[in-house]
Amino acid sequence: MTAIEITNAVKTYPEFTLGPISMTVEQGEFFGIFGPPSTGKTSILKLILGLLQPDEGQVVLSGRDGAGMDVAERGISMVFQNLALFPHMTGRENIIFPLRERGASEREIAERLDFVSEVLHVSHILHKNPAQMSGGERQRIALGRAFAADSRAMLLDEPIAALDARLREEMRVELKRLQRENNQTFVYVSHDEEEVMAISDRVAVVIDGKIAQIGTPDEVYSRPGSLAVAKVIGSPPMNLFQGYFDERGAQFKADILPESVAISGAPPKGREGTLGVRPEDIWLGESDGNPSFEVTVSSVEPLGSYTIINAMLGEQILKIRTPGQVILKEGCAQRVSLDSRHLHLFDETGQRI
Amino acid sequence: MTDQTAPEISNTHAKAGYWTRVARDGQKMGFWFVLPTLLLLVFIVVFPLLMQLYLSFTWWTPLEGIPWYQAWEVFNWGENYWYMVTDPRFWGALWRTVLIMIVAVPAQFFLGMALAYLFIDQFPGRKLFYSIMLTPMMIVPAVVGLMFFLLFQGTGPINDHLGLPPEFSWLTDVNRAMISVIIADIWQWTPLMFLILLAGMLGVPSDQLLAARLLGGSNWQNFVKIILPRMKTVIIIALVLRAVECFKIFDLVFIMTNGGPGVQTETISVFLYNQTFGELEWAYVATMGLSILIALSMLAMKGLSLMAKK
Repeated sequence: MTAIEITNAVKTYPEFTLGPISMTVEQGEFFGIFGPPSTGKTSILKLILGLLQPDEGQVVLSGRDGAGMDVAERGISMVFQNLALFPHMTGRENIIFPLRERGASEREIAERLDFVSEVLHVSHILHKNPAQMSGGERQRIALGRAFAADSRAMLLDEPIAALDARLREEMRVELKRLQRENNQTFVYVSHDEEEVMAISDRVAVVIDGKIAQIGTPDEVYSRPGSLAVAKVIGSPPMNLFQGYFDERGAQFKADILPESVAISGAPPKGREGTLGVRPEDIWLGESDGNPSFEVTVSSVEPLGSYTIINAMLGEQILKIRTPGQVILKEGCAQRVSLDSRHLHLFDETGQRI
Repeated sequence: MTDQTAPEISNTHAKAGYWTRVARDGQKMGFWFVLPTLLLLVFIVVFPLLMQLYLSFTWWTPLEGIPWYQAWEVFNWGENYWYMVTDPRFWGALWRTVLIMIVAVPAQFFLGMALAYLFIDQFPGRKLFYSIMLTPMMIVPAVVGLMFFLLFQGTGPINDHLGLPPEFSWLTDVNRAMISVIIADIWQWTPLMFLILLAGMLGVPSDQLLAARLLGGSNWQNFVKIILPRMKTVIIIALVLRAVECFKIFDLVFIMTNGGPGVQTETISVFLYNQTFGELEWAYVATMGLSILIALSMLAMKGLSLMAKK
């Protein structure tokens, strides 16, 4: 069943146009929305919440048109970036707030509170005020409050961005567990690519107010639909080579690469384009049947399980990610080769070929 | 080695001594800088208070024929205080002042709160209305008094609008005079309440309000459960401020009714004025002034301690 369906929604601001946005979120899905800062992610959330009415198109919630529905009526709860806990209430009062508001019976409130504190492991902090809690505890209470509402879907607007790295990783696992165990629909917004990719079933990449691509994290990473998506997904970012396709459409000639690269598919013959190679698809050394060339190593970042090598190819910095620890002298010449199975080709408009 | 370090140590000692001396001298110098202000404070605060206290224990009036500092000649062992607690005119004035306070201040509070609530959302013309809203409190109270004096005339616009005959008097009627004064005070001071409460209301983080709204709270519930608790401090400040100010109400009453008809609208301030310039009972005025000062301070302390409790 579809929990949230947005069709061709457009919202025009004086200096910014959002959309047209079309996306569907299935019931029980963990849906990620990723995009660089200020690209319209929050506006999409507002469309879903009903805080923003689309100029065109519509938002449908579980089969009901959202146009006439009030914010409170939509049954969508939200966890805010700064959590928006009520500081004058204890953890318990915060969690049961939505239940009291809709006039639930004392028994129902008690049951729901038990359930929520069970899932979120917050029983021991229910008596505290938010000010007395740690960042992680506050996080749980905020989630608990959204959970208690028993809503159609939960929107999370960078809810763990404020936590430190270790806690963030823990909360990520926790969120996923919560979502799975309760078959809840989550819409998770973040500008942290790694976070969204790690946690979501499907990801929508938002760039300049438009959805550039929707797909599983693997699809978005392995087959970015456009140059723009390729640029924002992946860390370190994809290496891009400007160049053109030859007349036969079998070779790509990059300005900076010493030899042309054999390609497959149906590229626009004789037109300009871009070749993208992920850092992990560049290997150290020669390899049979793969294009290879020489670079100058400029710095090496040993990161434990893998190593990032920054190398100069003419004027361009090349990022190479190689497994394990690699020791290379700075300034030395190194022969590298491209994995020809994983080349990403984009035409002159930036569309994937 | 020792020969080399020894003089150095003594040197630093000398240095520290020097700086300590400078600091001490600095404190001395600071005292001389502050002294004029201290003297001024003694003259404008401490001296008048002590003088008032002194006079309040005597029969002294300017007609006594002796200078005030010789008032000990007519020392009366606190009989002024006894006279005050048995003076029906004093209690009447006190009661009327309290009456104005307990009617006007809550009215200003509720009106100010309602207006502030209207103003938390954006709407066309908000800034213009905001400026208009604040105008009454910018006007000199005496002018407000004059305005309402004219409005409440028998042949004035209020009777005209309400379709009442010119004989229907406001300011000279035993009950309606008080109502008129209260209305004028509410009109003038609701804006201040509005301003303070709006500031407090805007201080409630908007995402908390949004969260409450998303979680299904009605506007009224959100107001009671989210906005009010967070405004507690501001509310106390606004109420204490207005209560103390309202207790001192003078200009409006003086100009609109001059305490009349009879003493029907005579407040503490007007009574004190009449005693000072009409009866020349300066020692008695000093007695009442001191007593009211103590009472008001206690009232304000009580209010502010509520705030500290939070």
